[in-house]
Amino acid sequence: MAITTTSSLPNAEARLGVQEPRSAMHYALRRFRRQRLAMVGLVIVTFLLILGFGAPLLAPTDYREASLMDANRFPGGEFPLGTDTIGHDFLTRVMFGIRTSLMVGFAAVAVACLVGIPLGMAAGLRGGWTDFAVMRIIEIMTAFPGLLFAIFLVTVIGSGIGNIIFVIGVTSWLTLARLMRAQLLTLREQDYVSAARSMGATDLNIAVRHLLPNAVAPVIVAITLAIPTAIFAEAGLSYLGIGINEPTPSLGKMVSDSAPYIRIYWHLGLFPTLAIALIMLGFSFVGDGLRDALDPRQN
Amino acid sequence: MTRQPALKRHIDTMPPRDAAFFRQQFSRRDALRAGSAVGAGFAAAGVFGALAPTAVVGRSSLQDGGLPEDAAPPENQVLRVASDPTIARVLDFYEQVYERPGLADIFSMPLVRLTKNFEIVPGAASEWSGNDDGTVWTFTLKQGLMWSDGNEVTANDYVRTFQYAADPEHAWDFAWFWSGNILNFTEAFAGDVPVEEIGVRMGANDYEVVFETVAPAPYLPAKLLYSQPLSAAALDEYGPLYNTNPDTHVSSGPFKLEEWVRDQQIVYTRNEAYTGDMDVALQRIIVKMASPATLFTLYEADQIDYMEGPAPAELQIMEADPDLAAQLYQGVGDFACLYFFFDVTTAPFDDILVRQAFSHVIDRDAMQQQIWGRQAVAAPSFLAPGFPASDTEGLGDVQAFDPELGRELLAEAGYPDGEGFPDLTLTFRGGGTPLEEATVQAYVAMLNEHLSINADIQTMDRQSFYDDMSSILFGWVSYGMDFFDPSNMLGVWQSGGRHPWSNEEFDALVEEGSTSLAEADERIAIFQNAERILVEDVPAVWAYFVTPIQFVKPYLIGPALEPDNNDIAAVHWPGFATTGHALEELYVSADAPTGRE
Repeated sequence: MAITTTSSLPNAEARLGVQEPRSAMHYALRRFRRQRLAMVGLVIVTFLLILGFGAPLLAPTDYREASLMDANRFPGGEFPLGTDTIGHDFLTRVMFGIRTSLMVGFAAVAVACLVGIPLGMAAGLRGGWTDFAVMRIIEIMTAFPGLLFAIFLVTVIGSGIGNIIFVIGVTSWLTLARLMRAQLLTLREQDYVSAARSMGATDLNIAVRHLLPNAVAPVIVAITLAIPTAIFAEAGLSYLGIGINEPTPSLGKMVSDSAPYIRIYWHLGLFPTLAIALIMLGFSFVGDGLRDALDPRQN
Repeated sequence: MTRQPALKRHIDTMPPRDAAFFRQQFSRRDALRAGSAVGAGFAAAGVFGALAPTAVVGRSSLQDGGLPEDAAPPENQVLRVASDPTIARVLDFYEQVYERPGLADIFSMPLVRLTKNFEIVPGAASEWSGNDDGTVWTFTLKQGLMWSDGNEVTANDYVRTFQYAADPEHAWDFAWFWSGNILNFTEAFAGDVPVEEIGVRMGANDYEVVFETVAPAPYLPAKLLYSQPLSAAALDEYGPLYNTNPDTHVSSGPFKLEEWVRDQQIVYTRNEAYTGDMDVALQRIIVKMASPATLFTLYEADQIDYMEGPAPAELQIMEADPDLAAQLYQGVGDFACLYFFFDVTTAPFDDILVRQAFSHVIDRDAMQQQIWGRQAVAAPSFLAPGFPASDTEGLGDVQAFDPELGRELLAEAGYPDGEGFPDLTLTFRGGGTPLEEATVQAYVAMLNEHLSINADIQTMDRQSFYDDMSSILFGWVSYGMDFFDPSNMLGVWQSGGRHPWSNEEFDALVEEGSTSLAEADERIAIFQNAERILVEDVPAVWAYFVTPIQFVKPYLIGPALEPDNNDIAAVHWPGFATTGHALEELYVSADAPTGRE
């Protein structure tokens, strides 16, 4: 009589539908892929990333190059998106404008993370006076309308891409700080945190090894959604004429500049507006998808 | 009344002023006799005081004692314009100049006024005269001019207004205009002497006001276009902002303040107490507060009757339609020149070779064709065609477009192909027009194309810009006349003026021209020599002269829109104010829509 060996066990498991354990990331990705809008957003964002960051290689001309005698050409032929009022190739300007928007979006959110996440962690983890102080700062800053405060800062420190990144960054860390604090306030009462503390782990160790990994999902979602907000803020500031300095292309400035001409040269307003809309939509779709994928409890 | 063709002649085809004109405009000897030359039935004319008799410009074609036959009834004599709400805070020149709405200065009469041919004619003053060396000027007021509170307009109103302007606590934003000109004005504004010691005082009686100047100032009558007084009594009773509230408002001009709803509208109505000689048909003026970007929309929607400075596309829309094109007028404005300036005391612009290189890479012909169109003409120099001592032809080659020469000069300065040249920031003042923005962007592209120099454009709010202008390394600004004399335009370039550029020879020539007793031709030559120094030393790269476009509804008619002596038909500077002629030379025709508010 044959003896059943262990080698036949996997087949038996397979027959029983037992699978290898999968990571949380795997399930998150699967949930993300199932959302059509999120995938559309991902395609848009990927396309924009290639278009923007590839602009120096892909754009027909340098963004500074202008031929005044070719000014105000409508889209077609030599200039697929036309030219602007001083003869810039508009396709080039839009591509570099997307690049500028993405750079500002990513960099400003990075600044916001550098400020907001540590402050939120400190407030959530230490509580007491630290929490009180951080929350009061947040409340005070919340009292200022973000755009007006940004305008004030730009007026003080001047325009330009570096300053715009700084200004948007330091006016948009509040959400991240509050979110991180709220996460830690919940997580720090968990048993595994108490266990770590009873084993002598320091606050920093607990924060980095136990709390941050568990709090990261909603923060990632918040970051993703903060990027289009930052991009829109840049477009707004540039629209007001206090954002990115010419000749560096900015979609917001391009929309603003188009206003006096738009009734005839419609393309000057249409294409940068479309680009802004695509950026906003793409990142918003991806952000919503990530939220649903990483934090299904919110669904 | 038949409407005149919109544009009789473009400014760039304006012929040089003939010798007779300049003799009229410049003869200082006549100017000193001005007062005695003024007689009944004549309005004295001339920049340097009152000269040859000139017919008063008025509604000569109108019926006596009433509205013209083709005019709308009084209730429809309404003029509607728009103004930027972010600017409007006061309504008087001597309160703050840069915080007035687009239509202000109609509550009192200046001593002199300006015709559409830029001739000085009596305003509140019936006559004036200067002493032998042109340092003391006596103006005699017309009697019977009344404030709406029942007080008579006297010399004291003018004296108190100038003292208020010199008061350091007032911090008047136009104090530079009289600094170094009226005796002790600079000292008073600095707080070093009491305002009572400035060179503006009562004369022999209540109707004489006397001006004393630091140096001979034959141009003073022209400069006193800006002399609309505040009411001394209202100043005492209500304080300087009395004209911002209808309850405390006092007027001796043809209009009074009926209503001012902040950020919405200002309404002026006829001042029944007005006793001056402006014969005004308009009964009501409504100034609607609206963003400049919305003016054309308001105009198209028949919400306003007049607008200036359309966007390029808006101008194209008007030009493309024959009916709309007939509503288009083009003037010379205030002969403003727009230019790029350098801080010549700081590297790299302390090197004239660099500045010359910059001056040879601006392609004005291309800008004219592609950007400016009819809204501006190329400026090879500082004084616009039609302005006294203008020499655009003689100076045309100094800063001519020659990119090859520009590259050579830059290489000679130590920057071959732009190598080693620092990246620049070009400072742009906020609130610039689309024309300005496009011009600046195009020039930055030309610097990159021809000299391989990178510059970015930083916008600075207007107030900060003007506060910091003398320390801006590379910027863009404009200057238009405040009075019709080269000493005004060229004076801004004298040492200690708005720019750090300094040239002793230039200073001496401008001073000589301003105070000279020489004949007209000689004075013109002095100013032209000064301008040549200015242009050749390149403290600035001149870009264009503004030739402002106006849209005027077809039912707004009158002599103001008829061609001037240079065949230019437009509402001339200074526009709708008691300083100018437009208020009394425009009226609403009978075919205007009713109920316009």
